[in-house]
Amino acid sequence: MAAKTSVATTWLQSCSGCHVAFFDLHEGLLDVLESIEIKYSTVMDVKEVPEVDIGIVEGAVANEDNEEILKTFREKAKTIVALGTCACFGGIPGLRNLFQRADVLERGYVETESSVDGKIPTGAEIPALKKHVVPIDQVIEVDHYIPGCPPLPEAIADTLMALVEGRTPERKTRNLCEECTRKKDRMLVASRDFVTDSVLAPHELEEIDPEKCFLEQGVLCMGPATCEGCGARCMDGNMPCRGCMGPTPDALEQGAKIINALASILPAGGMLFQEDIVGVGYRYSLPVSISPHLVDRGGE
Amino acid sequence: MRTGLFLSRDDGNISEAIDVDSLAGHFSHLPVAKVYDNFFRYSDHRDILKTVDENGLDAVVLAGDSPKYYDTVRDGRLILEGLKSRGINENKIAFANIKEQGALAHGGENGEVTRKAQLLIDVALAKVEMCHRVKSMVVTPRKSVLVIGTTPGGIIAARELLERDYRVYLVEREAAIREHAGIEADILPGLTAVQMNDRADILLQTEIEDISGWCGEYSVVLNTRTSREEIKVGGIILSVGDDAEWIGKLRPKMQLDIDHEGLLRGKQKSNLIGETREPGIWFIPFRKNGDFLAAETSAASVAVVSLTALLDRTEIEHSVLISEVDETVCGGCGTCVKTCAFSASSMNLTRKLSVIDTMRCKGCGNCVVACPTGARDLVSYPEKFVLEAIEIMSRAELDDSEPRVLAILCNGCGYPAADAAGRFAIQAPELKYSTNVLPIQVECGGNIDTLYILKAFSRGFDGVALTVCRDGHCYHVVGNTDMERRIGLFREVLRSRNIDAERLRVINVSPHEGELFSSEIRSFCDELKSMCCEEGRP
Repeated sequence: MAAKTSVATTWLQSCSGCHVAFFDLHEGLLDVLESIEIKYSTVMDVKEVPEVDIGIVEGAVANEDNEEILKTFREKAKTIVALGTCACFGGIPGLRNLFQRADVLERGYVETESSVDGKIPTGAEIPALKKHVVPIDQVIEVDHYIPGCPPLPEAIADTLMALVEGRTPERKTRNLCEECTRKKDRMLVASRDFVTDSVLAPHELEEIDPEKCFLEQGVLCMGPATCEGCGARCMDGNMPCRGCMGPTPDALEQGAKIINALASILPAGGMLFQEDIVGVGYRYSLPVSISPHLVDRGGE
Repeated sequence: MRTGLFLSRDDGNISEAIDVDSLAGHFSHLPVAKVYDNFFRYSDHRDILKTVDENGLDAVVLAGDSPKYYDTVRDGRLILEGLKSRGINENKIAFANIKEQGALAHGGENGEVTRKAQLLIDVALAKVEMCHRVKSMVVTPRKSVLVIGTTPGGIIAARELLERDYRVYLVEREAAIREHAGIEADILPGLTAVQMNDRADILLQTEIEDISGWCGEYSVVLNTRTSREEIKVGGIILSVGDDAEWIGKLRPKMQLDIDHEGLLRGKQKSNLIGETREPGIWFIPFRKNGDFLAAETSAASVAVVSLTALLDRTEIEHSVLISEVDETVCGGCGTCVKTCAFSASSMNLTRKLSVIDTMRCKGCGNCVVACPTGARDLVSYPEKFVLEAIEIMSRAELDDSEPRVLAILCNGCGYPAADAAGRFAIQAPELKYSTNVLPIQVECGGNIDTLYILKAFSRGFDGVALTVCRDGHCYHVVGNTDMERRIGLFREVLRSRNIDAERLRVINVSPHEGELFSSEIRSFCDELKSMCCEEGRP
């Protein structure tokens, strides 16, 4: 029997949910483990990162420690896989790029409701927070991406098995409407009328039609501006897409694009008040947008 | 690719403000970088074509007059036709407008204007580099013409077309031929000739339901009170007088420009008065004053002669300047179907792919901006080129004491308005504005992607000015509406990045309003300057 492919995993700035997604393969994990051997992981008691075939990195780069671990992984692993939306696009932690670093520290350590006499910690042993959160490919070269918050367990297995077998894992290029099975009706009529009269949050609908395109029900769905690859699970669960798979490779960013698109689909006036446009458009991918953080005009 | 750069002194108009020879030196790494006195003089014109041949060029940048000049004025068009006949693709010809938006628009420091000119040439070079070749299609023109409206001009045009052996459809939405008070006797012989000719159909109480196609080959759906009929014609002449209501209905179907009174406005004021943007569509302008009959007769003749000059050819070549679909990226969301005002987008449901009707697509770029996956792109102004142009302009070293402004100019209104500002500034130097105002041309307000704005601010521009047509004037019908909706939502995104939404200015302007363009741009620059001062910057 051939030697197993060696794997190391780690998480940087993230919630560890992508590692949980890996375990969500359940019995399927046993099949994967026939072919790979995990030599190092944040959840194992191994001190040094060994030389491995595949390095799997979850999470964004937000502080100096993240950066150092990441660079070590690049040195030790022949192939680097970005696991999950934070590693691929900056994800939720990236939203702090909308604030000054000093304000973020102040909020986190001093102003939080649970803090009493809070102080911003200092000292050489504490890794300094970077000015901006970035996805890992802005620090090291990345070979493959598995986006999703969290990623599909099957997508993790498929990517690993492809690498084990020497194939190039498939990268998706279309938007989520490709995978979504909801029926479109008014969206496909060449008419300049909006598809609904009003814009609603899902809970404002008396009943969410499980088979009809969310946009046609007046619910803001990020599907059009989001890359396929998740199997449209949220829509199957009768909830609109929030955009966790990030932009399609050709779209450059999600926020501006969904605004451009919606202008002729939903009544714009309603959208302004119903939803947090910035939060909706950039929730998962701010650090890879055209303007990935506050525009610096000589401030901090 | 072998690109040649041709620079014009414009008989001194350009070289007075711009050191054209030093620019030629700067671009001497190109296969050709040559200076001329005036492109449009025969000797220079001939030498340009000869140089193209001798050097085997396959791309050309013309640094001189505005691209609008080449679009509207005959000697300009001749150069383009000459270049194309040498095998240079339409998309491999780019313009650096160093005259109207360079030498004429700015006073003061010679060095600054030259530096801006260099930047405009850099952008034009990027355009020929990044735009792929546009395909063309050959049409055998039909020898039939649709005349819309039974005004005197319409009847005269119909008669003249019949004399030229054309099949004519004369369509009128009213129940009878329009009355021509005072000149019935003059019109009657012509009307009788049309009525008697069996190659003419006079269709009353008929509306134009739909028009698609190109010069030489239009499909027109006519709706009479009793039936619906599709006809094929080679060209169209509009003779609807001052019937603004009818013009309003026809406008979205054939991209007509209108003036402040809602009447038809020509592509240019000078020699060809009834010319529209569509080479196969001509109109007879309405004149209130003077000898009405003489004006109608001559305008009808201009329309007939110009149109039949095209339709008499054995074939007409069309550049397919449309929006394209990248099938590997399109997921079938339907956004383009909802966005297109011309019903040119539809969905192939089995393949879940957007499909373009090339006979309907006007190449306005609204769907390119709307497409949330980036599957769409305009053949003539690809998104990646515009972003690259912004990048190039952001890197330029400019006078830091003035704010740096990106002016995204719509081809239909803002761009010609900026040209007009330059031309007017010859007489009125107070119209000149800062060289730090850097223009980028786009097809339409609907073609302005909010990405461009974000890109400009993230690359250090102090302000972004957008121009759009006035309400109801966009010749792509909805471009200005969609742009304003997008900007309305987008201001929130700017605020989230700490960008004062006041740094984005939307200027409503008509193509001839050079004074307005200049005063808006200058006041915007002044406001930006005081904003910068407040932030403690120079």
